[in-house]
Amino acid sequence: MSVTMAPKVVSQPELSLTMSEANNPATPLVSLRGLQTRFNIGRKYPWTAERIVHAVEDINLDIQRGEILGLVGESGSGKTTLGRTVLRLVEPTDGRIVFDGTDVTSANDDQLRDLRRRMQIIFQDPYASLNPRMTVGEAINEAYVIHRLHKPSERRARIGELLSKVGLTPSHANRFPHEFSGGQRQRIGIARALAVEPQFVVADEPVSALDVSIQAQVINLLSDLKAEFGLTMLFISHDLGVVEYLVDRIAVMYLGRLVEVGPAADVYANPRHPYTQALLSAVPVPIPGRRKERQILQGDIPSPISPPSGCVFRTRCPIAGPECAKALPPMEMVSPGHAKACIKQ
Amino acid sequence: MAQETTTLRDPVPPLAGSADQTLAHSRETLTQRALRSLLASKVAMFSFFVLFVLIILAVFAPWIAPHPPGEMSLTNRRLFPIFSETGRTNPAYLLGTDGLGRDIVSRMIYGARMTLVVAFSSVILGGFIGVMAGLLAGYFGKWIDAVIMRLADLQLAFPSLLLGLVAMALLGSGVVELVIVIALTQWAIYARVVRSEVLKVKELEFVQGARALGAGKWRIIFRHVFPNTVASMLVVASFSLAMAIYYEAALSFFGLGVPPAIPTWGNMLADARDIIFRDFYAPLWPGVAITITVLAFNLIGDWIRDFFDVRI
Repeated sequence: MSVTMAPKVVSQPELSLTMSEANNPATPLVSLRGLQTRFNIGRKYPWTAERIVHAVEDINLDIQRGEILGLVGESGSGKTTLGRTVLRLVEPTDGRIVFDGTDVTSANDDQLRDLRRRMQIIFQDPYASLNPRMTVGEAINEAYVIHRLHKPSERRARIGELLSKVGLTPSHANRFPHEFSGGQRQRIGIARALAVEPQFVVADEPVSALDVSIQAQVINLLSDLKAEFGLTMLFISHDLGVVEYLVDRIAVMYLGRLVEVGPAADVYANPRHPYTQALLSAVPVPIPGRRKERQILQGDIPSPISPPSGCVFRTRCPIAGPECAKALPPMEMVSPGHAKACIKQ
Repeated sequence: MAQETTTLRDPVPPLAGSADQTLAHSRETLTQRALRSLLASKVAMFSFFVLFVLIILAVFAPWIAPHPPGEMSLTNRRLFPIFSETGRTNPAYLLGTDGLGRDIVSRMIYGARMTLVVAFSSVILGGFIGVMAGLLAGYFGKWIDAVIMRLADLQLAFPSLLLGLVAMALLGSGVVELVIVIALTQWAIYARVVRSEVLKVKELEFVQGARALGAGKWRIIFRHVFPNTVASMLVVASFSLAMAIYYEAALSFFGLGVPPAIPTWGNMLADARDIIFRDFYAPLWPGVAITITVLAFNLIGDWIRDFFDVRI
């Protein structure tokens, strides 16, 4: 459970991995170094400056083999962009992504197709993530066709097997997505992602669009599948309550930056960053009559077009002082594997 | 409502009977749904009936038409329809004859043939060009989009009938030339509609999902984006068919479309032009045929739009 932290913020940290480190259980499966994604959304008026959205800023993070890393943060914090950047569905503007010894950032089309067999994504919205004009079987079969997996004669049986694994039946393969409920669709999305037997899956808020009763089922399914396939997972969520049951480690994101990373139990028991503390205090307690002190954050997340100077959280931080505006707080270890970016705590 | 209850019953483990858990109302296939919607709409039924009759007339013209379309009978020139009380009628010629003694009914039937051939071919050609242009412009964006869409703007800014007249004058009249010219006046509409659909569809998560799966750009364009633009394309196509019939008639009327020897509704109108003050009925029949057909295609377009809930 090592968290690699740059001692201070650097734009292009050193990272040298050789191919011999691939498949080495000691090295992380996914390494992000100085990862940055910015979007240029153009000028508002011809005489104003170009507006640049700082969606993901200087992320340094390792995901170990076989672990589930929870990535949490409120809407607009850049979680989804980070998840998609890791798979290069969104192009990073700076930094490096290394997957199992292969540099994803510089991969060409052929290498990228091979990488995409090994890393997959489960989407948030089960209503938008399936092509309405393709049957479930066709959607899964496409994965086999693209990567030339299995003999064409065996594919049908494989699809049936896969659907059974996610709690559907083989006969569902002939149906269209609109014939399913949200929870069932999410299972289809999971089946499709797992069709290529990936090593790494980015689960982008896979349950936040589902009813609470269905959430638990899908979480359990993911947990089972993780054990069965030996998956490594980046589980993105805005709901710390959901994440708690599933993840090994937690990374907390705010306005494109990591503010705290650590083992889940440690972070839950002993949150060190004021933002993490605020998030945790907002998790509902499922015991009637029991209330806890809520630390309600004032205002909204600032615009990522012009993030605050220094610590990005200082505008909403209950303990911020003038020194917070001066420099970006570096990630500091508070205990083994647990780090936070706050100079006040 | 049905959706909610089903969601709550979403099975955890694979259930033997879970096939029954899917939404009951959606077990209907697309064809069944289309038929039901069609039966509910009298206007759409009427329009498809008109289209059906036209196709039957066009396909079986030689068997249905009472006379060959070019057969002239000098003793039976400029006859009135049989219900006319002028006495200048002949029971062998239901709607009378034109100035050269050719049977109007037969010419109308053969005219339907040429009209439909020209309309459908030009819509297919124009649709193909426009859909391709729209897919490329919408998916690739940047300079490809800029070039294609400026061409489309240019096309739409230019009065298409004038363009058709000039092009036909330069190319010479002929059925193939006519099809090409009509197709060229239509492609820009497809390009615009398809492009806007592509812009919408390509941001949907299933397109991202296909990319994440390693699908190449052509697979994404043709397997994922294109099928989701078909509904809008059909709507445009039905309006475009109406426009094509109109252009065919107009260009033929000006003598720049189908050669005068081949009967089309436009040619018949053109022939009637000279005798319009002596013979009220001469331009009436082709005019009515054009009006009803154009109306039918427009109404079919309306129905398709309602059925697929397309917003253009």
